[in-house]
Amino acid sequence: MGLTRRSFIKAGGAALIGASAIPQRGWAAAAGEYAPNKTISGDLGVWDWSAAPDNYGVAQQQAFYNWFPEQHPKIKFRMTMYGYTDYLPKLEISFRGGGAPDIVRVAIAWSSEFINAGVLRPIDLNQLGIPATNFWPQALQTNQNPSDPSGTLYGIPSNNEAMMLVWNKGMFRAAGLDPDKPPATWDDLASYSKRIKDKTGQAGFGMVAKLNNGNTPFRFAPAMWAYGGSIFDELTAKPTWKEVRIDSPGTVAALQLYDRMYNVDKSVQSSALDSAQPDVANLFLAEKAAMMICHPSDAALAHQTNPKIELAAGLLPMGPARRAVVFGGSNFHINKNSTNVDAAYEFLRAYESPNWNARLAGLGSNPANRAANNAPAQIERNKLLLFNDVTIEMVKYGVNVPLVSAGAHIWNETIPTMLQKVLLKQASPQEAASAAAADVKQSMKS
Amino acid sequence: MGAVRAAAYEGATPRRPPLLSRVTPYLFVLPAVALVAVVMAYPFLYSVYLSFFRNTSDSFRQTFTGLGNYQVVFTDPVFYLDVRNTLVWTVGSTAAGMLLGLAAAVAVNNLKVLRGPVRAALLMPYVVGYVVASYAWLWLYQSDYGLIDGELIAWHLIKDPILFLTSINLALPSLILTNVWKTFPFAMLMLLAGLQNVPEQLLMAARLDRATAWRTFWEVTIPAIRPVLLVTMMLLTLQNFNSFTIPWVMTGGSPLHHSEVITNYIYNQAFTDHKFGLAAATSCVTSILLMGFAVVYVRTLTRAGVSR
Repeated sequence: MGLTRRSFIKAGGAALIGASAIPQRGWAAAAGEYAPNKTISGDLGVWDWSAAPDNYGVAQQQAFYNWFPEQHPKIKFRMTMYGYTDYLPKLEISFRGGGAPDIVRVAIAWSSEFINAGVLRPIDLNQLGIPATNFWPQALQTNQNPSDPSGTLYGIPSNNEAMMLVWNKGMFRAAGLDPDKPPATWDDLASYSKRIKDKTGQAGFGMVAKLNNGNTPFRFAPAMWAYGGSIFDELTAKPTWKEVRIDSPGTVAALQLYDRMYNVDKSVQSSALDSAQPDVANLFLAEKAAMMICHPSDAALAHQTNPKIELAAGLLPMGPARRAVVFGGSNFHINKNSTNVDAAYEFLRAYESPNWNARLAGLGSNPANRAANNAPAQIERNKLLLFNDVTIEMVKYGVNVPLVSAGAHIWNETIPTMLQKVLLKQASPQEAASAAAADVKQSMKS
Repeated sequence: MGAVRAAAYEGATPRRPPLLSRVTPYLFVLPAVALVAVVMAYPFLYSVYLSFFRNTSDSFRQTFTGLGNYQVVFTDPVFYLDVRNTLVWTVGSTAAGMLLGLAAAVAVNNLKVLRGPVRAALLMPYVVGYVVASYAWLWLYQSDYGLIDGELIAWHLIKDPILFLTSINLALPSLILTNVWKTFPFAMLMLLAGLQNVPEQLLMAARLDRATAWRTFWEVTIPAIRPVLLVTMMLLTLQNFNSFTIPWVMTGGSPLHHSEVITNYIYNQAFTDHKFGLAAATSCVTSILLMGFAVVYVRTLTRAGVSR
């Protein structure tokens, strides 16, 4: 299927593996560095999922999971690494069956399911020794139960990430656009896209609109939020995730923008309805699309695969209401039934320490603990990842995915279906948004 | 001695075999039956049981919902669309696969030289994995850089690319074509074996009667291979009905579920929505549909004298 972000991560990680293979040696100590408490004993079980095919990330995981038990000889440490694809069903079954380990790392969108099920232990940041201000507020939100006004945390973030806008300066130039000036607003993005199409014959913007595909809402939702639309009240300071708002004027405006680009201007690729991110990345690499929304590793891949592309990256465009991006990442949770909470906290302290947190973010993410941003390991990572500073800047505009049990359905099916109805002219933007609202309400009841 | 044996066979009451020898055959098949029960019967029965429960959204508990899941299935318009898609996919893939398979089998059967290499070449699609085949055809159909549209535009046969995978009317037929390419070698192999077992005397008799090639084929060959045709058609139908990979990889159900088949729908319910009860209910409904088809088929096969 061509070179993808995954295949770059697999290949590009080799560059950092040699330098980082030695745990905690070769890295200058960062402020707030971890000091192991070797008196802690007992059993400790941890489940994580592999960073593969990110070879650098895999090497860091191996290094850490070898290093931690070395530092704590009295802890009987059991570590199980899963593949991402079938990890969630295994987690669900283990918690249902009472066989879950002390600590699990989960994708950010999965946390609400386990928090709502009441199987997790509250986490005390004081006991952990990391202030709340070290974490992004959106990340902490994903570890809370929205029905619980106390704001109790049931986990801590392990890593966080956001996407950015990448463009081809050469194609901008060919279309008579300033190559150093990205579209400031979403309307500008549509105008740029049309101009590039008219002048060069190639797609201006690589649109992702595939059904049953998580890439689609990751790229549509920022436009929806920018226009003031939302699925629930996720744009408020303390969302409750109860009131359905997807049929708001902001959502309709975002749908109208996509409709304009696909049906009126025809400035995006004709295969948009069947395009996921790897397809758009292929078009970008072949200089058949001038702009795309992606992770920094996608930009690094483009640079490595086709060095003649003059790459630039910037923040996602603004809308009338705001600039927004989907807030991504993962969380750690402690099992409510854990019998060795002290060891669990010790593990989390080690993982969240600045150098380790930076290294363990791999090549596809960034450390959750913001104290790691200046750690030597993070500075090294920034050299490999083009424009990583841009995505770190974008994280502050991050908005959470629906943190409800029906979130996966809403994210992967409701939103792409709504978008496709408009692009296929099966419904007007308002009709499609209203149908989506009905679907969200139905899925919340089931 | 012979007279004693004769007396034993003429009117004598047969002795009942001992209990052990009566039970022994069942003991021999018991391990296989137990394996089938564990691997197939238990999951099937558990699915039926699960179809009457739903997960609550705030816990891992299952609550009894009676026919609630079935009600959800039968009131979901996407379910009906996917059933329709599945029937079109199954009938289309099977019919085209059988025709192409029969044509290939006849062609290979009539080859005097290079029969082996040609047969091997025609088998290649069957050997290639489903995911590999899906991606290969995805690249062929891609409207922005695919080979088919690229060549058609280069030869000025079309001006704008044909939207094979993103048009509501073309997506499913395009996937069917991929599936036919992938599965026709199976039909070819089965029918080739049938053709090679057509009695030579029948064909000679037709030649002596000066029957045309077409008449010979239609009135001698086809009836002779009818049992093989029916069995192949049944196997292909079941295989196509249970297909998952090609629609999932190539379109994910786009555009708007018009290329989605029922197996994709069940997968989404179970592993995207985590509604295992609902997925079990849909599976039960689908199984009933398939069982109905199987009953009709077996009766047809029995009448054809294929099975007893």
